[in-house]
Amino acid sequence: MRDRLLTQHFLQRFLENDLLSPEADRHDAIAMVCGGLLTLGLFLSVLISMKFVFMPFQSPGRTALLALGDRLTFVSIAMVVMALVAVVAWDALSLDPRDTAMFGPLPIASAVIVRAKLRAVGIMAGGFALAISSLSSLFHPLLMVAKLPIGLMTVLALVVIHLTVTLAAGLSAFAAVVMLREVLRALLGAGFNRVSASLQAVLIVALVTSFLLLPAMLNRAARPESGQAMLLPPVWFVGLHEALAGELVAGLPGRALPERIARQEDRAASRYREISTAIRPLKWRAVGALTWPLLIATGAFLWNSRRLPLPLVGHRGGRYRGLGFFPRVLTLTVLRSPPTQAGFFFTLQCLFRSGPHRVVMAGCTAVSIALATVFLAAASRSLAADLQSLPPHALSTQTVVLSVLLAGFRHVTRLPADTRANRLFRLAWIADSRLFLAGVRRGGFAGVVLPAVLLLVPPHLYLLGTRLAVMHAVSGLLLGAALISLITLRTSQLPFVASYAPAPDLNTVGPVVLVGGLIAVSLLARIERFALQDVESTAVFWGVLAMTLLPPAFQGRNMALDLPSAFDVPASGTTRLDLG
Amino acid sequence: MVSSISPPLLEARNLVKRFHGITVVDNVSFVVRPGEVVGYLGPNGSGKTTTGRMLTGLVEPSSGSVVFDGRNVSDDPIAYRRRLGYVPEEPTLYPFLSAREQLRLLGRLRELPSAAMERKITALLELFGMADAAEQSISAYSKGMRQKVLIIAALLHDPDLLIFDEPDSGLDVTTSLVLRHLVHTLAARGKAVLYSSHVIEVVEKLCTRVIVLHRGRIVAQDTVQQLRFLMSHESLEDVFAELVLETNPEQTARDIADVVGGHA
Repeated sequence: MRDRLLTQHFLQRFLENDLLSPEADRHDAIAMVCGGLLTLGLFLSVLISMKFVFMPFQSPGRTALLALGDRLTFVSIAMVVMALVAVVAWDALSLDPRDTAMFGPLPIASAVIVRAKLRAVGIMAGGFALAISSLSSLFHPLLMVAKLPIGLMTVLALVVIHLTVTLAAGLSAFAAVVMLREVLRALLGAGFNRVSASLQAVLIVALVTSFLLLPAMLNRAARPESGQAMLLPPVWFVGLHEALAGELVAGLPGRALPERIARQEDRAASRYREISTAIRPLKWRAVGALTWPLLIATGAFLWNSRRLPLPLVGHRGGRYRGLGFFPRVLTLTVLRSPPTQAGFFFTLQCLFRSGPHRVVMAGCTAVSIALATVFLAAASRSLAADLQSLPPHALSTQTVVLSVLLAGFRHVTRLPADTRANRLFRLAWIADSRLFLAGVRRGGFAGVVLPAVLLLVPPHLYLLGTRLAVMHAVSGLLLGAALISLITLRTSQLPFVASYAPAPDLNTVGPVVLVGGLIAVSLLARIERFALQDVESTAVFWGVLAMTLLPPAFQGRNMALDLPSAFDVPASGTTRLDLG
Repeated sequence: MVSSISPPLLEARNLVKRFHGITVVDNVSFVVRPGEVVGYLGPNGSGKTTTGRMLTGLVEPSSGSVVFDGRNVSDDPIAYRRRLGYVPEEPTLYPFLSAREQLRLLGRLRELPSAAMERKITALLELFGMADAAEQSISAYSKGMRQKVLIIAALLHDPDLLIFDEPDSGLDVTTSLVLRHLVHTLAARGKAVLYSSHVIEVVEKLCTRVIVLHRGRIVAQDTVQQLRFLMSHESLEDVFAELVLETNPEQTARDIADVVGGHA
């Protein structure tokens, strides 16, 4: 009973304190996170699986070969998303001093608390893994074999095996992150706190980069049976799937096909068996990739939890050595006024450290990763020798990613960082709104646009070549700055400190924005492709983008941000959070 | 120094606050002069915090006004905030920032020059015994540590008016003593201080004048000595008990002990 109560408490607190704001509507936020994950799964499953439905002469060999690549995508997504879940929940993965403060005085054995925390982490990981894997496990096998002569039990077997493998892959990635964290905690002791945040950031960047590079790597360089591919953990899990599902699809009876299609089918079936034979032995690596991290992570977690962590009262923090090099350079150059500095640093602190803001940005990052995967995979399949024959979607990835991330940025600027703490902010507010907003824009650029564009440079170098990739990145930076400038131009509230959160109105606005956005992205890609042909056109294109940065410079000192409206008066379609 | 002839720095004029028709603060008027420490006493729910929030501009009065240095604060709230320092009752800080980051944010919003602000923050953190924990996330702080950050935040811009709402809540004995001496020193240097507290002994020792609030109304307002004299009591605690207490504390304590011990 106590175990169950404690586990419930840890799960609840995990959602309330570490992922979601205690001030926000928990149900709304949980619905948003779960909805995002399910939508991601549904979107990718249907998008990836629809090709089977539209195949004019679907045959077992070609289906099995195409499904191999699909599985690799699903497994990779499950692994990266689960690893990201673990990295985002980094600080909540083990007991902390708050738990000691809360449960230490109670007559509960430490072992009970530790067990409950471990169980809560396990349930959370299992829940997320299931949310990511369930829809692809259902839709992909069903759509894949919809037109093939196959029995119900075989379809069920395909669904179960797909679910088992993607769950195992996702949990293995989650366990690997927990293992890394707990082993480092055990090795570094108190020193872990000093490297923890940096390690978390490095892991996020590494995960996103490897994920973005995966489609291109698989399509261009790493043949599945090659030595390079054998080192990729997702391939191990595809190998496990092959070992379990084997010839379930490829072994189905064929039907009469036109001669040309029949030849293709023979080649595809032969190629499938070649790859399948090569990767099946990797099943043991997959089993090891799941069990070893799980065992080591659990062992290290229990070792680190021998004693409940002590409260940090009087705890010695890092030694203060003044402003760091980059903040000092920034404050001397582009952030000279104190309100601009406040806006810049507060924006970055909210984006990367505040629970509700991080969740929104993580959700947008997940969506942009999914979209980038699809766009980059499509682009890698249609590489062209010259710019004019380059398909427009090759230049769309960056715009799509920036649009999704900046939509998230626009949303998070409207979320209060902490409704009660905002009172102190309000008391200290004597600043020029224009200067503060300039800092917020620069913070958004540094925290959202710059990392996104830089992370896309490696795949673009690969796909577009050095010159075009660099020019495309410059366009992306200008576009990002322009978009931030536009979304903050007509704000009537101070970012991060207004007491109101926008009410979701996706039903009415969502479809319009989605369709309009897709048209705009496509148009922009075509314009950019035309503009990057020569120096003059490029200069004009960049100049037009740069001109959108000018309007904020002409705004009045306090613009529409009259006090106290900037803090308190609810804008249309907003929900009051702070009633105190 | 205390001066009853110097013009008031802060004036509360007939302040009224109603929440959903319930009057929480009822026609409260008082002044605070430079060099004066005015105690603001009252039981829980008497309207102390609401008065403090109206004085700082965080809550709009239902009627009445707040006048600072001869001008209604609503005429120029920014000029008022430049000269106001406020320590709220709740330790409301951004949990994801460190103490230094929180103070730096507030200092920058107040447009303090960077170099001077950095020096001041470092020195104040050191003096309040917070240097070792200054880079830690506030979410890991005890209540007392948060309270220290709030006090530093209120002093950072050298305000002329300080409003303390239960400032010694959660503070250790040493810091409480430092705070009392600090309030004295600041008043001696011409700052006007409104000091709201539950702790009668602190108010008795610290304040030059006391305002007693009960059910949103001022029931007494004078110097500690005058109140003792007028009500013929030895201590401010007795004065307070007569003005405010509606139950016998000793009897209530015995009743509680009986319930705890299962005798009731």
